[in-house]
Parts: sequence; C-alpha cells; structure tokens
Amino acid sequence: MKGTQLGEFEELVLLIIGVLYPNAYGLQIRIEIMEQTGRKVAIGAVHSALSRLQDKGFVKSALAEATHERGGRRKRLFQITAAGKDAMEKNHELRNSLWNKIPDMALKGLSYGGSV
Amino acid sequence: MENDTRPNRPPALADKILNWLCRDELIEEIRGDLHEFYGMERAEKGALRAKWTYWYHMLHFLRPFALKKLFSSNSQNSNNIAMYKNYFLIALRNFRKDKLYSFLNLSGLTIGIASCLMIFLYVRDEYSFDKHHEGYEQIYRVVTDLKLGDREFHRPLAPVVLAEHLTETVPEVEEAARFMVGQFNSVVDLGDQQMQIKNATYATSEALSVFTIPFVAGNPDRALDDPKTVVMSESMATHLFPNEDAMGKIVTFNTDDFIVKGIYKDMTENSHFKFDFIMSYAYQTSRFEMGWMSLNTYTYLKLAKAASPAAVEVKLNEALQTYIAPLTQETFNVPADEINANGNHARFYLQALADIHLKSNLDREINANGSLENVRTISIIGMIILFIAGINFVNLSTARAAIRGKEVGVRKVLGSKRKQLITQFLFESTLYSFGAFILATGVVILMLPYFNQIIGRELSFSLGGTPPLWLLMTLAAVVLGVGAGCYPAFVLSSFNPGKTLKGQSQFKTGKSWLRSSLVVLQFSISTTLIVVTLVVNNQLSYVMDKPLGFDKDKLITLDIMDLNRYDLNEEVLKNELESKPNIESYSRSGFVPVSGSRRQFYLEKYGEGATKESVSVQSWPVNETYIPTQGMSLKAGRNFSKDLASDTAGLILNETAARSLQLEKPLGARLTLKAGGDSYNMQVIGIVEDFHFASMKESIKPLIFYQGSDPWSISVRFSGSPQEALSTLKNIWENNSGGQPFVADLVSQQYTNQYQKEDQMKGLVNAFSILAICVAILGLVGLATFMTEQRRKEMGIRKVLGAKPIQLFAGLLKKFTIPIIISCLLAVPVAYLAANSWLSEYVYRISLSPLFFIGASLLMILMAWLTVSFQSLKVARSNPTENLRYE
Repeated sequence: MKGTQLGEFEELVLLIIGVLYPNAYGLQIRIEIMEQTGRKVAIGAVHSALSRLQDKGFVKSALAEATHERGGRRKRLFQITAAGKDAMEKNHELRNSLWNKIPDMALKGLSYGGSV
Repeated sequence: MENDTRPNRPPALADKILNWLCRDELIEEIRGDLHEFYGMERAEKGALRAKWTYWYHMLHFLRPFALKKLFSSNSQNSNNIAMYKNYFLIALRNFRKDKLYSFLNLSGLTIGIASCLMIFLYVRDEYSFDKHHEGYEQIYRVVTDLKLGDREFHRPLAPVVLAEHLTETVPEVEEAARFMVGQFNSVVDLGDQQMQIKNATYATSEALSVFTIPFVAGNPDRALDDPKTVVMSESMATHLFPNEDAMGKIVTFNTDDFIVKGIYKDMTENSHFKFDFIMSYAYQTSRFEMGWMSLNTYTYLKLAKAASPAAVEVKLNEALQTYIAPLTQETFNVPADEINANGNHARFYLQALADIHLKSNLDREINANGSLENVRTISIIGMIILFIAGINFVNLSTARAAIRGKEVGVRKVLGSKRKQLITQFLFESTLYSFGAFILATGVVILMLPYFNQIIGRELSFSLGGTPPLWLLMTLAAVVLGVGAGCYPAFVLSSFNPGKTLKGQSQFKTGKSWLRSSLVVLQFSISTTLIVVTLVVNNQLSYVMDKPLGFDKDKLITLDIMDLNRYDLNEEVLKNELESKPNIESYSRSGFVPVSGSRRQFYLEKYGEGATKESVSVQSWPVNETYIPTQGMSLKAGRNFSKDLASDTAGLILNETAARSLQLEKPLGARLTLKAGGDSYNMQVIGIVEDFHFASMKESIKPLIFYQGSDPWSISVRFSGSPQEALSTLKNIWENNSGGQPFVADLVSQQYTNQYQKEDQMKGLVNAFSILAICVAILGLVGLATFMTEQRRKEMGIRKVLGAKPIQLFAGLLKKFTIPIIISCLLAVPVAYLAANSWLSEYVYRISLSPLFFIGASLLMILMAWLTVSFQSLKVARSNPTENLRYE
C-alpha cells in the first residue's frame, strides 16, 4: 500500500467528488475545479489524481452507461469510500485545530487588502 | 477500438497515439472524457481550437499512471526484467557455444560498422566546411557567368565596384565582404631581410566582420580601411616576428610599408579559404583604376535574415544590365542588346557559402574544393558494406534456425507468446549490434591514422559533435539490430513446437532459396565493386603513364617572387646554371604545361580568300630554349632561333591549332594574332607535337608559341637524381637571388598533385572494396560451414555406397559455384554502367575491355572456392563411420 497521505490536489478532487455526488467523473470534476477555484488543470492531471486516490482506497468507482456525446463510450463514476471520508475529516480537523492555535497577535495587522 | 465516423471528429492521430500508449483498461474512460470535452470545446470555440486543446490534453495523459508498461500488454506482469535477464543469459550462452558462428557474425558487423563510422566522420567533415562562420546561412558568394562572343568567363569573381553598389542600393544586402587575387604566396621585407609569406590576399574590413575571424590582438573593426594596413594569423606573426609582438610593426611589400593592425587565430582547415596574411583591399584599388569591367573580386554578401537570394539575384542582374551591358561592345565586341541573344549570355548568380566547398568547382576557386562525387561514392560504398554485413547476419541466423528451433519449441510449450519470442530474438540481434558498435569504435580509433592518410585529412574520433556521435551510434545500433534481426526473429518464432521438438526440420526449400539469393546479391555487389576498383586503378595509372607530349620527369620549375632582385643577378645565375653538369638546359617562362599561367588570344587566317573565322588559342610567350627544356618535339618546321630577327613574327603551332585553322600547308602560313585590342601579322615556322597542358578530362586545345618573355618562372631540365638537382639549384639560388625564398617543384610531382582528388578516390575505393569483399567472404565461410555440416550424414552414406572423396568434394563445390556464377552474370551490366559513367568524365580514357569483367568474376569464383573447399574437403575426407555414428 502506498502512503495514505492526502495531497492538496487530491483533497480538492476528493471534495469535488463529494460535491458532485452521484455524478462525479473525470471531465465533470475538472469543470467543477475550474469553476470553483479558477485553476487550470489538464484532464490528464485529474485522471492521474483519481487513479492515485483509488490506489489509496479513498474512492471507489464503477462504469456507467454510455452516452452519445462520448462517442458511445462509458464513463467511470467515482464515490468517496469510508477511508476517504476518514482522511478528509482528519485533514479538516487538523486544519481547524491548527487554525485555532494561531495566536491573534500573529495575524494582527494583516488586513485582507494586503497593506500593512 | 471503435472509430467515430461523424464529421468533425477529434484528431485521429491523437487518438491512435493514445490507443497505442495508454493502458487498455483505462482507454475507454480517457477517450470518453476527451471526446466529450472535445464536443464542448467545439461548440464553444470552433473546430480548430478544439483540435488543439484535444492534442494538449491528450499529451497530458502521457504520464506514468496511464502508460502501458514497457514491452508488455499486461500491466500486471512484473516478470519482464527477469525475462530480459534470461534473454541476455541465453544470448551469451549461444554466443559461447558456437564460437565460429559468433565470430563470423560479429566480425562482419564490426567491419561494416567501422567502415561506416570512418566514412561518416569523413562525410561529416566535408559537410562542416565554412559552417563555423556565424550566420553562414545568410552568406552568399557572387559568381559571374559570361559568354560573350568567343569569350567565356565563369568564375566566382565579380566587378570591384559591385559590393559598394549593392550595399548602397539593395536593402537586403546587410554587408559585403571582398577579397582580391585569392590566395597567393609572395615575399615581404623586414628591414633588409626577405621572408616568404603564404596564403596572402587583399580584403576589405567588412571581410573581418562578415566572416567569423576571432582576433587575439588589435581591433578588427575598420582595421583594413587604410591602404597600407595588414592583419595576419598568429602563425604568420610568429613566422615573421619570432619572440616579438607583431602589432604595429612595419612589413614592406612591393616597396610599400604596411602597418600590422591585428592578429587573428589561425583559420580552420575546414573552410574554402585559409588566409594567413590579409592586406588592405584599398591598397589595390588605390593603385589601379577599377570599375565594372574589373572582374577580379571575390564578393560575399551577407543578406538580411529573411531575404531571399533569388530576389537579390534579380537585383544583381539589373545592375548588370545597367552598368555592364553598355561596356560589352568595347570589351567583348558584343553590342549591349545582344548580351543575352545569339548564343551569348551574361548573368550573376549567388552560391550559398556552405555549398562552395562541395558543389562549386569553377575556374579560379580560392583553393581546390572538395568533391561531392567522392563524398557520394564513398557514402554509397559504406552503406553497401553495412548491407552486406546485414545479409550475413540474416543468413547465418536463419541457417542456424534448426539449432535454435528446439529452444523455441520449449519456450512455446512453456507458454511463450510469439510476440515474446520475437522480442527475444530482436533483443539478441540488438545485443550483437551493440557489441559490434563497441568493437568498431576500437577499430576506428586504431585505423583512423591510415584512413587519414588516404583522404589527406586530420580527422579525429570523438563521441561529441552536433548531433552527438554517441547518440547517433546508439540509434544506429538499435536500427541495425532490429533491421537485421527482424527477418530471423519472424522465421524463428514461427516454428511449430510440436515439429521442432520431435526433431523434424522446419526447413522448406523456400528458405534455402532465400539464402541463396541473398548470397547472390552479396556476390554481385562484391563483383561490381571489384570491376569498378579495377577500372579506377587502371584509368589512373593510364593517366599517370600516358605520354604527355612533353617530358614531365627530370624537370623542375622555380618561381621568381621578386623580379627586381632577380634581374640584378640574372647574368651570374645564367652562368652558374650553365656551368653545372647536372643542369641540362633551362628556360624562363611562367607558361608551363602542368601548373603555369594561361593566356587566351585569337588567331585568324588572312590573305586572299581566307575566311575571317577566328580561333581562340592558348598563346604562350617562350624563348628558343623552351621546347628542348620542356622535352617537347617538333613535328615539322623548326624552333625559334636567337639569331633570326624575323622570328619575333614567327609562330609555332600545336597540331590541334594547325588542324582547327584548317591550314592546307601550315608551315609558312600567314596568320593574324589578336591580342587585347591589337593585331599582329605572324608566320608559322614550326609545328609542335600536341602535349597535355590540362587535365585528362579535357581534350587538347589549340595552342601557339610566340617569342616573348614571361618572367615569373624558370624551368630547369636536369640529369641525375632529383634531390641532387634540387640542392644544386638551391645553392645557386641562395647565392644569387638576392635573398629570395627558394620555391621549386618537381613537375612530375605537380602532375601527380593534379589528380589528388582522383587519387583520394582510388585509395577510398580500394580500401573499402576490399573490406566489402572480406565481409562477403566471411558470410560465405559461415554458410559453407553450416551447409556442409548439415550434409555430413548424406556424405557418410554416399561414401559407404562407394563415392570417392573427390566426387563428394566436386558435388559440394558445385552447389556453391552456381550462385556465384549467377551473381557474376548479374554484376556485369551494373558494373559496366557504373564504370562507364565514371570514365565518361575523361576525354582520354581506357576502353572497358571484357577482361575487367572476366577477371573480376574469376577472382570472385576463385575466392569463393578457396573459402568453400576448406570445409568441403574436410567433410569429403572424413571417415563415414564418424559421420553416421552419432545416434
């Protein structure tokens, strides 16, 4: 088994799979990422991340019906597994606890406009 | 995979690449996504954009997770590396098991590859000429091509003022460099000391910037603008000023003082010029009046990056119409409106700098250029050798198929797929080819000095270069391995395991037929090469030994560099020369047969009823000692005489001149000699036998001698050894020439040098033909060994039944003789065409006698017999019990 760490991009993909439930597949995930974050990603990058997530056991997948737009090819739909949910929760908690530990002083004076 | 047939489907090639490279289980979803995306993009941004993004995203799928595992359709298979280890081991074992076979295969390939490598080094060197100049693709040389009236002028020379005109009026011309006189040797004075200078020229400052000439001292910018300035190479600076700084020193040339403005790194040999002493072009233009008709300047144009040379040529020819056409009446006797009519033509054209070395072979090149023909011939021979070696590999591998058959059978039974077997055999042949490449590298390093001798170069072996040699070699090794290995691989992997394991032969007659025809092919190529080699050698020795009409042996030419100094002591020199017993005679004229000056005048008959047709003739000024010194013989009439004043109007014609003037009685005929603008009435006093004063590729042209003097060279006929004569001359020269350098050559040597390219070609053809034949013979040895081994049992049975060894031997020999004879027959027409086309360049040539073909064929058959008979004899004489026992 490879490491079960959740990378930043992987986490994003995992979240989006959740958002899109039950209709998450490669291309749709990419479109959603671009819409939500404005990041430009290649379809191949999404597929690559999906394949890694599946290797780690965070998502499971099944082939769905073929559609006409896809030239008669089936798409692979992804769902989050229990392990995936755990990993996401762990990440979320870690982030929250770390966020709460930052002393107020550290953020004082940093306005959102970026001027000091 | 199904194909989408709707119009406007995504790019098919991209899909194909994807199918080919991506894992089968992922391909459906990937293509599905890409396809859907393509549909969206097309609707939004149009088909073209969609196609581009399709490609972009397709390429982004070429990452490890999606790619097929190497050499296997099944990504779960981690067994690959182990299999390759096994292939390697088996290859090694097979290599050791049959040493003769391995040796033959490997040595054939090694010879082939080593030859190709050396040839590659040579060809790459030839093509590297002049490419070290920055922006060489933009540099062009102007060539003038005129045929006006009787005068032809096709030289890489342009009018003096053309460069200025072009830089001023043609925006495409960024800069124009000019050289005058080409590359000459002379002398300079340093105080009271006279020194020889070599490779001198006159150039403009622009030449130093158009060409990449790195300076080690001084500033190249505008360095040669003043008339009395000079820049020189590092080695010339050391020659003239040893242990001193040459910068700013004074060098006296032609009684004028030149100041040294710069020193540059010695120019590379890989260039069509190599100057060591560059004087200011302005020196020449300041002394002489020069204009549009002074066609004496090597002009190089550096064009703007995007400029088309064709467009510049158009402008060049416009300049020709405007400035040169009005002058043609006066100079060539051709009116301006007829310069492109009545068989006349006049044009300028451009030569790319990088093409000059191999493709330009004009009159008055700066240096003798290379020969594209040699480069092509030798490349073809290189490929032929490699091809023959490849055939060996195919033949020997398939011949041994019976032995490998069992292995194939076992592998198949154990579950090997055909694809894997093919991979195995290709892997094995690639191993061979890599091994051969490594050995060949060693061979090249050892043999390169000899090769350099043949081609007269200093090539060195390094794995670098652009593109790097190691990369090319690796690629070539793979290509060769796969190329030579694919047929054996397909044959071997096709065996039926049931049959091979039962010991049945997989051979059908078809396979051995293929082997025989490959042998026929090899041997017809070899026979052709032998014929061509014989013809080249014979023609060149014919050229060397042909009576020339003058006696090139025992003749020395001595160049005079400084006329003033020479004339001071001429009388003393004369007396000295005459007093030496080994100096037979001498004459002074720069017009000598092999490498002298040439001058073209016109000759017309005159008198009653004479046609006014003029004949262009070589017109050489000579004195009365010239004909005996050159060893020429008079056919009729007499030589010039010092005592007859009337001989100043006398002419001696060569036979061709007499013929082309159609003189009924040549002796005493009256003729008009037209030289420049003047006419002289002359009378023929003698006819000299035709002699060769040009290459054997040209016919002997009309020529006349008249009494006159050309001071630039002395010819000396000597007796005894050439070394002795040279040292005698040198002594006399050093005591009496006022310190001029001694520049003398044996004419026989000069004559040989004329055929340097041909001689180089001969060396190359000889060496590589022998190698090609060696490789073919190696293959035959292997095949003969194998085939006689196979027939051992048959021979045993025949012997038991009463056949004599000699009968068996004859039978075996016959089997090999027939294909060789067929190949000789096939070779004859090809060899005839090849030899004939090479000979057609020569006006004076040998005839292609059938002896060449018969000789080559006999040689081939003899060699084949020698090769085969050793094996055949062994089998024919062996004890039948031994042959039959093992079973």
